[in-house]
Amino acid sequence: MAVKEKLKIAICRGCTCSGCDIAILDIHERLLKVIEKAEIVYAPTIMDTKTEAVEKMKDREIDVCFYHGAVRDSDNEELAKLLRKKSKIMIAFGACACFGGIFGLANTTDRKGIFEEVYKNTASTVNPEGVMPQTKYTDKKGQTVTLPEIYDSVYPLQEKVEVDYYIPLCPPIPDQIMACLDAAISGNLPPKGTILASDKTLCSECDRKRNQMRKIDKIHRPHEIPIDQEKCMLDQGLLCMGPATRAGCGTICVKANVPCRGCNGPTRMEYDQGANMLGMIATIYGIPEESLTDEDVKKVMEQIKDPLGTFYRFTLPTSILKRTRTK
Amino acid sequence: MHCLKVFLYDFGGEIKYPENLSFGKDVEIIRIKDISTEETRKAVEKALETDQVIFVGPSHRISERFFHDPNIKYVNAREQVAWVGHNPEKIRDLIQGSIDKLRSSSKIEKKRFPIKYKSALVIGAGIAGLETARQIANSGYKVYLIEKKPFIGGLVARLDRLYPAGTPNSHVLYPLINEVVSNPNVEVLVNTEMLEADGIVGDYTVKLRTKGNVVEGKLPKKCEEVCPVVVEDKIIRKAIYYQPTYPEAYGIDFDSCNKCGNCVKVLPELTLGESEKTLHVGAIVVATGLKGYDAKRITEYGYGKYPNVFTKLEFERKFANGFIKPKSVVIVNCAGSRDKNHLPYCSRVCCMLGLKAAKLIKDTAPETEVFVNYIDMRSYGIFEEFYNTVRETYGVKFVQGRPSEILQDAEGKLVVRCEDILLGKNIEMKVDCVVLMTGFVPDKETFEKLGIYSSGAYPVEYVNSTYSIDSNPRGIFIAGSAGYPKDVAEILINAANAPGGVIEILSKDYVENKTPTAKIDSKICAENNCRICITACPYGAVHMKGEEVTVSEEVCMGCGICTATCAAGANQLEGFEEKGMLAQIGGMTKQGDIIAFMCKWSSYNAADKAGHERLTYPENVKIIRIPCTGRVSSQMILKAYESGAKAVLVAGCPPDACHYFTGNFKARKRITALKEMLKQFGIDPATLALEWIGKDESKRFVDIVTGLNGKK
Repeated sequence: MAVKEKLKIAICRGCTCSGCDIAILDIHERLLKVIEKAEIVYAPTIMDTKTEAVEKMKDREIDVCFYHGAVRDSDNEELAKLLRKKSKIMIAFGACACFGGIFGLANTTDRKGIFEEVYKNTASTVNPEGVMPQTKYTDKKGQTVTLPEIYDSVYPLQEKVEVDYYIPLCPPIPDQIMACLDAAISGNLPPKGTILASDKTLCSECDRKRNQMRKIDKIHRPHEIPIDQEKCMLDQGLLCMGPATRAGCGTICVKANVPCRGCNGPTRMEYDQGANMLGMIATIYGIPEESLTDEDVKKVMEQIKDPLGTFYRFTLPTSILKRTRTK
Repeated sequence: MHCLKVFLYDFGGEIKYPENLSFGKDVEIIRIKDISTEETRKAVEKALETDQVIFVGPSHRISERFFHDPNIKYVNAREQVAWVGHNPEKIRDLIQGSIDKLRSSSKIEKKRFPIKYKSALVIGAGIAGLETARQIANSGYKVYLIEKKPFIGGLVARLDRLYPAGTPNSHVLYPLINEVVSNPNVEVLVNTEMLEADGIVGDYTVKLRTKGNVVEGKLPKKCEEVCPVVVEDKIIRKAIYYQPTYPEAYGIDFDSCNKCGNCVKVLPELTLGESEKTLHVGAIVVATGLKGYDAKRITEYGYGKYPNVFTKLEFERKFANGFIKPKSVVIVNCAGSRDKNHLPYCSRVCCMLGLKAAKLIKDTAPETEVFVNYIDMRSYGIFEEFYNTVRETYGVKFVQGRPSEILQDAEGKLVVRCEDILLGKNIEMKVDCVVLMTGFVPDKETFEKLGIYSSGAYPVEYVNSTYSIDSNPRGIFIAGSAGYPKDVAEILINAANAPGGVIEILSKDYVENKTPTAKIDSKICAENNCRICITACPYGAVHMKGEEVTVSEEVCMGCGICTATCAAGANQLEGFEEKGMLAQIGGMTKQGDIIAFMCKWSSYNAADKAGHERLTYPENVKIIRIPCTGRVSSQMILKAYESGAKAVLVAGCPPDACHYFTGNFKARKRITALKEMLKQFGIDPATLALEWIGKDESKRFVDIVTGLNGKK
């Protein structure tokens, strides 16, 4: 009997902080078991493989590709397309690949805005000639160098290539990664398009005590108050994204007394995590509402220093509006 | 994909439709000549069996009269296109939106509640409970009438007389009791309390607990004599006692009984134990009446401290039974009422009870000096005459002003200090006795067990929508003073309403729900959950059942406030599911449109009225009819902008007049919040407007949308 071939795995990086690479390594000794059955054929962060090697592979030669990071420049897009072509299964791995992630907040501006800020306006920048990065430069000798083109918007992976599965979280947790690898190794895969996380909301995993009457009188930022370890964050006036967020992380942040920031993204019936969270907070603010004036409500919302950044911290590029309108 | 049938009604040529109207091969267009014919009704009903249906023609207000299926999606092409002079092409977009909405929505299943048990439970055997039980039983249905006390008759049985004429209560009570207890359809259970109730209209399971038993027809006075427990129940009695109502037996007041067993030695059939019983009934009537406000809490009046300060019932019982004979009395109306430290509301009947007490004193002992302290005399309707009689004929002195304190002097006389507002000076009255007309508080415990929503102290019986004609069928009714304080005549008239509702239900094999309700997806909203929608529901319809959040199909009014609250999308209102709403917005919006979300109770009718008056407004205004502005989620507004809208209007009922109490206030909070975030999205917050538009304010509606259209 022929020896069963090892599963070929690729770990591809887009616009990422590389936390997802580390998350994979965080499966620790279980990695040994994985590499008995699987072989990592491409993972630029942790091993010396070249993109050229992938280009030489046959189509669909890789069994599973974990793509982490958002797509925000031509290089990310090319690589995503290459890996898609060479892989049987493409997994959007981590919040950035799934929703655009933290990088997605760049959608509040555009390329021009970013370049102006970074290459001109920051206090530490000295650039009197206003030199800006170019995608192509030819020197006096006629030698040409190129740089990838930065896009005006940050995109989640599925906007550029077809995605088979999604593993959100920032970064994914080891148990979730193992469950996914086990499924890939055994071939026992869920239907295409599945988000490999719980269907429920984060609150369903949280064992903090909630008030009978859910209301907020004042909104606090986490550093402003001593946080009660037993009580629901919302009842303490902290903007915990739990009610608008998918479960699956085991409430690790909340257990560390930090409000949920929503990195596992919305549930399957939620179309815009930020809008939903904003609407919910506004609903429970200052019940009974009859006594509130427009000014009162405005004052509360002013307590939230950056509503867009708070409620869409990980999901702006997959939200309904996707980005800020720029002139 | 479902097949879709679009019925077009041109209203005798008044509605012009676009040419070449086509929405792909799965959509069939059917033109009808007349909305009101049997043929049209049958065609629509037949189409509904297999397909999804859109009816294009006049406003919902008209169309809903002819068809009763909530699955039909109406497009208002008359009032909101033809009559306001808009280009018929607009209808194409409106139909497209409706098609997209239906394709993304699930079917609304008609819910039937079978009336499994043709019987009713009446809680409380006071005058309201008795009258309710009488009417239901006389209509041929079984009634279980339970009473917490050992005797039926309630508060009225323990009073001496009734205002305004001072009729002894026996005139009303005795014949009523006899008719009720002799009806074979009535089963009276005294010393019995409802522990819990579960179920839905037509099928309730109720658990009861009965203390002791009734040994009818045996009345050995010795039972009472051997009882060592003396109870001051306005008058002095024992823990085992007799009250001339029903049952014809000695009854034990288990709140006071020390279970010494002396009475059992006299009458061995008696038992002091308790038993539980489960009943199945089709309807429940709450006739639990009222409790007096605890006068001890009004510390400045010295109740409980000075022996001659009484509450109204105490005084009436003691005086009528000859235990006290004061020479002078001050009756304090509004004791603790209309006072934010005690009862913020008016208990409505106390002014008359004060007059009744004054008349009782003057009738029995005319030489007694009687003062009445009042804030305002609320002797409404025919009672003004009663007030005049007491003041003029009987010579009772009325002092306007709330006493600041009541003290006792060295001789044991009570000193009532107050400001006489009419004289403009402080006065003191020295009297033998003070009667506090304290207000009433409802029996909240029963309401809570039955999930009856109360706003403040009393249950919300009828405000705009609660228990109104568009409510879903409910098997729980309130009779008599349990709802709010009433006098005996009002109770008897009011108590006739509850049996009407009960009999209507029990006479049917099933009842159907009228309004689609919210549903919770338990795969998303699991055992442990945020419960925020419970706080948002104005009716208490969203509640916990065990560890899961659930919606009572009886109580839900279909406003959708909870749906727009749920951040996880687990809560969806049938017919207005988020997915469908977003699809509709996406399907109908063109670049530069103004999307107006208008509530079906007020503002939508104002827009219709603009049509009746042949006013006109910008053609790019497209209206989406919603149950309440409280249903408008931030997602829907963002979707409108994303689809090309240049402005969004959310218009609802005037403040405090929301059909669902607080939907418009919730909308205001959400929209104010969203405006702050819109700035960050680079959208001018001035393009998002929230307005209160009453049903007659068509001109204001036109002004508002015209103003929005002027914005860039």
